[in-house]
Amino acid sequence: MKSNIRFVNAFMAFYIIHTSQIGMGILGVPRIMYLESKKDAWISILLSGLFVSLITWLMISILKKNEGDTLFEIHEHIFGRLIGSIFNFLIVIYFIAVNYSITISYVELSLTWGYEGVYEWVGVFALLILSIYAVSGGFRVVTGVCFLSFLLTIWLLFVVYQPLQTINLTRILPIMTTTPSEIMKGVFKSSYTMLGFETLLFIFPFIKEKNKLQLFSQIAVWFTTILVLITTVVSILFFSAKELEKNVWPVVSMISTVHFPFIERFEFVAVPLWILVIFPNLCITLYISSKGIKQIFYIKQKYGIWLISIILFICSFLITKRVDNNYFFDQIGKIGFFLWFIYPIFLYGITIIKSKINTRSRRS
Amino acid sequence: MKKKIVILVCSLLCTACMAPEKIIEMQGISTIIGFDLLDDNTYKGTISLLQFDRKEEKTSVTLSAEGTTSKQIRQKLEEQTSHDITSGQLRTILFNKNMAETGISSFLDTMQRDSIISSLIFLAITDNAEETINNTNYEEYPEMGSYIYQLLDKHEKKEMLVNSNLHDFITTLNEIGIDPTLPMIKNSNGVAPFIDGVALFKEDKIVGSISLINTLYIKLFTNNKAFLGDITLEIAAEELEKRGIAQPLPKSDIYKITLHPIKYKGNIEIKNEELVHLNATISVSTLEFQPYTSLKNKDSLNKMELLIGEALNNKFGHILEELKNLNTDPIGIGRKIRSIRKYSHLTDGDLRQIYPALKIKPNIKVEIKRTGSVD
Amino acid sequence: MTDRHNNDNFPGYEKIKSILNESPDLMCRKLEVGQVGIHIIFMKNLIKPEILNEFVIKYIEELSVEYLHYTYLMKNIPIEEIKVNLEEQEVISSLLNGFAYIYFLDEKKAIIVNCANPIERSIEKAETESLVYGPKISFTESLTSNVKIIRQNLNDYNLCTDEIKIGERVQKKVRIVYIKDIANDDTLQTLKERFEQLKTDNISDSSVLAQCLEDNHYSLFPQFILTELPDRFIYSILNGRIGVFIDGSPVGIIGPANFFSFFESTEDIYLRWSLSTFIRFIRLFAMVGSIFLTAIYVAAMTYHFELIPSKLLFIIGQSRSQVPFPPLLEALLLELLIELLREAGARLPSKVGQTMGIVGGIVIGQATVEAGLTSNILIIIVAFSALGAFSAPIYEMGTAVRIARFPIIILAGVWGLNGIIFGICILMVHLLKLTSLNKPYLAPLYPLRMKDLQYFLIRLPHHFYMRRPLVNRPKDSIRLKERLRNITDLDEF
Repeated sequence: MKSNIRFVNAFMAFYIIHTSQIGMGILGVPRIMYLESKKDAWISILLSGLFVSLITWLMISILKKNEGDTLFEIHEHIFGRLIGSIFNFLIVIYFIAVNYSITISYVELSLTWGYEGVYEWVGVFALLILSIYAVSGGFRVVTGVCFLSFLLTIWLLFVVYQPLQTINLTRILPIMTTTPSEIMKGVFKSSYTMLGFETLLFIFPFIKEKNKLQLFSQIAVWFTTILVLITTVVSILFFSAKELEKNVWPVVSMISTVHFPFIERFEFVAVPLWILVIFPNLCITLYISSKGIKQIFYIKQKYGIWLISIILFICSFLITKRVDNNYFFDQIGKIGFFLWFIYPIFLYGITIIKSKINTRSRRS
Repeated sequence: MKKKIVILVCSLLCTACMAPEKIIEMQGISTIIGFDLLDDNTYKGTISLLQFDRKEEKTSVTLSAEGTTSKQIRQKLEEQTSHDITSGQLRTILFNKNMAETGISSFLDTMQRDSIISSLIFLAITDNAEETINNTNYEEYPEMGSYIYQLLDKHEKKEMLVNSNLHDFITTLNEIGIDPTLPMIKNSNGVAPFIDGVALFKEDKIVGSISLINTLYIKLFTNNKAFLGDITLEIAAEELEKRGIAQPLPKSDIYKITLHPIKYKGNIEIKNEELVHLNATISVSTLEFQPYTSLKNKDSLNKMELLIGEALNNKFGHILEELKNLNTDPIGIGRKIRSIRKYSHLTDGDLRQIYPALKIKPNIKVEIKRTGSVD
Repeated sequence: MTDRHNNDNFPGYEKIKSILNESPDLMCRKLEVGQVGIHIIFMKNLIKPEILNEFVIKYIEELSVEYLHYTYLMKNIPIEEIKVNLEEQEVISSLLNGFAYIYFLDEKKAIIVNCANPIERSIEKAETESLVYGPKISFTESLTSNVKIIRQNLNDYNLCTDEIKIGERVQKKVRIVYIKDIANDDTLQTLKERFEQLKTDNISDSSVLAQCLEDNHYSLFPQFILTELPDRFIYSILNGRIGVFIDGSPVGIIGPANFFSFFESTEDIYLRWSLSTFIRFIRLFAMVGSIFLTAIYVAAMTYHFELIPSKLLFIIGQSRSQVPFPPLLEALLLELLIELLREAGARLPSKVGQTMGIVGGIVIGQATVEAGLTSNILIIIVAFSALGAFSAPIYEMGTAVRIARFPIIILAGVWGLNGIIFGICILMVHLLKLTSLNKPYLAPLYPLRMKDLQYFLIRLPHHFYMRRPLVNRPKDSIRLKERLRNITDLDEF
């Protein structure tokens, strides 16, 4: 089977990790951060970026110790087939939930901006078709989607230029007025936006030059951090405190003050364009979870994709209320934090112990 | 075969769940809406609609209705027309003065919540919104909404207004330590509406107004690339004499000077709790001297600069006094105070108390860069 | 096997006649020189009478009797191509290809000599692909002359022209043309395997062959470049691609193709780099505009009128004021009308076709707007997208773009801008999945090869092109060891 795997260049890891981090989270992150750590949200983001960067380093060390397996395989090696499978199953459920959270929050955004009156399941259905079509093309296509959607949407960054004209620097001053505990809460809350770097644990076997991976994943993680930082800082400078606390998607509201001579209301273009931003997220989460299903149940990945899609589609009739969604995203952020910020540290410890035991037993 | 069935089912589903259509000619596209306060709690809303599915000369229609909330007014307006009223192209909201005196934030809240309404729409104050919208002198524009939009857009683009769109207004309204301003539109018989001064707000209530020319003092400190407008000063002859500036030959009692600002830099400097300096430097070119005065001499140029600066400071001082009396802070001095660590705990109420007692020292410097093509 | 011609399996006149269903064209010239009886059998219309008279009949008549036997004639007959020891089936097919069958009655043996007189068009200017600069010569229907053109222009002993035959009933000769030390072996192998798997009755043109060889038969996009320009063919082969000719078609097939190669024309090389780069961008933008512009109109008119700037709103609104259809229907009608015009123009003789275009374009366009059936803004947009589709240098890509437009328009009519983005995503994934001869279609964009972008997206001055593009994986990627001409800085003025 392994001979069929198509390898991708190490620099593609940059696009994969970056695009799976950036998604729906960045649209709402300024508000979430502001609610926790107020004017000093940018400190929280930098700390969070540092943290993510360390975890990324740790993850690559784990992967290198395990000779190019995915996390699913590592679990089976370490914990054995049964317990490993339970762990893997939990991870699969996590990724399905992430996929759903991205889908439903995008659909909600889209319905707010110009598509009122459409059922949620229609949007979910359309996004599912897209991701099924992409994922069925295999890893090469998923990477391609990451790469192209990055190219097609990165210019949105320059749109910030217009809001920059009306910002007021006094809004972020004075710095360092929040307590360290509030800043740490901000770091915790930023997890939903920063998550996505865990993809690394699943793409490792497909990377051609594994020694360059560290470099490119660090670049990706820091690039994401800088993007989140820019959006947050600009939002804080752009909005008054009260507005920022009220706005669900401050970034979209900020984009709504952008206009071009040929497009009057840019937000109505930006919201559909955001499909391209979340498309890699959806593909990667669907890919990883279907890969997990394949690993656990020994069924073809194709069936895994269909199974997960059906689950997601059924979900689209269940959780649709704004309040439920908020709770849902919050929970995912929390679980994600423990799963990918804390758990890798334990995993690192376990692999080291395991490898020592192995070498010892080999010696004796 | 399986693939084909899947594709077929998908496309059928896609067409089955079309998004709600908003075909352009089925819409009554509102471009301007005006609110008038009738009595206690009743408002009159007037809108100008573009409707495209009719003969060319009848594309615009003006409708009015009364109600207690903006949404109720809208419902009543909807009853009067065969089109769906949409606000996607809404460009201006007018409030009449009485209404602005009672507060407009509740209206603005619904506007902001509605994602279909742009956050770049202009807000303006007028005496009677209904009459303004019904005014038929809109030059070659298709209807009143487009005319007023162009009018405000021109001023906005050249940064002649302080802040007038919905986003700016709401942001300044919500911000602690700065008060919003809005342009006032004057409507009189026989001419097209025009801008006549800027309304000053305290919270969301109008408290006073200043002329468009005097907004230059506000713009110096709130915006760093605004169009200040030409400054015209009158200086008594004795002043010139006192300072020893070369007198031109045909003597005159009053000298008129018009200056054209090239660039400027403004800065609010908080000295201490009671003292605030408003420092600004304006580079100008002289447009007009009446009668002709020579500024060849470097010494007399410097003196002239000082003189003009003093005149401006003097005028600014008066305006600041007035602002303090009204207890409105369009310059954002309170905001600047709060950005200093010592005072960052101050609340809106605290600032309102401090402000009238605050010593504010205007300190405008003028620098004559160019004198046109003659000395 | 060596004894085969000693056997009695050379068919006589009667037998051939019966196999060929008593064809009236079948002729038998019965010669008797001395005691030796010789039948010369041929198809009347397929041979060149001068050759037969001069070099066969006259030659045989003038021979003295002792030389008049199979062995001598086989060795000495003054005709360049002869065939001996053939199966019955091959004899018949040779006859049908214009060969003459010289049968020795006594020896019961025969020689088959080439007197073919194939109908050939003279080499003319290319018609479907036109260049302002550069060679005007184009391929013809004859395989031999096509190979001749290539050989003449590409004098390299490593140029291989492998011949294979395909078709069950109608056998056709196919030539695979490549340069042995440049073309990638894997690609060549893939192509040859495709030919082996190809089971077909008859291939009527190279475009059919290209479709049979494609990786994905369902795709909208062409996966081989079809060209009638020898210079383009040679240019591609020199860059490591593989070309295919089939007898009877004036169009060569080039593969593996990638998406961007459909937007390059050899003229880009002939013109100066600045203009070529500019034109390449224009072509790409025209293609994008051609696919999406009408769809954007539909989306904006149906769902997103708030996007339109105030000044434009009034113009657009007025232009649509009398239109009785929803924008989707209006756009589809007009697009279909344009396609109809194009089709009618293409089918009619060129002179009538021109009138047709004028009638359709001006009269119908004007009338529909005046009748209020369409808005004039849409007419401009549709005309632009038609132009955009035709700006692709390869006709097939133009057709693909024209077809790709319709689903996007429908999506825009159903879901507005979201639908368009949905379409973009589907298109993107489709292009990512697509391969041509197992080589990725979107190369060099994905997989990204920065160094190759200079070949496909832009064009630099010639001295930059030191190597061949890597997307085709050439064996020998170095084109020039040294710069074309060392451009030195002149220090003296």
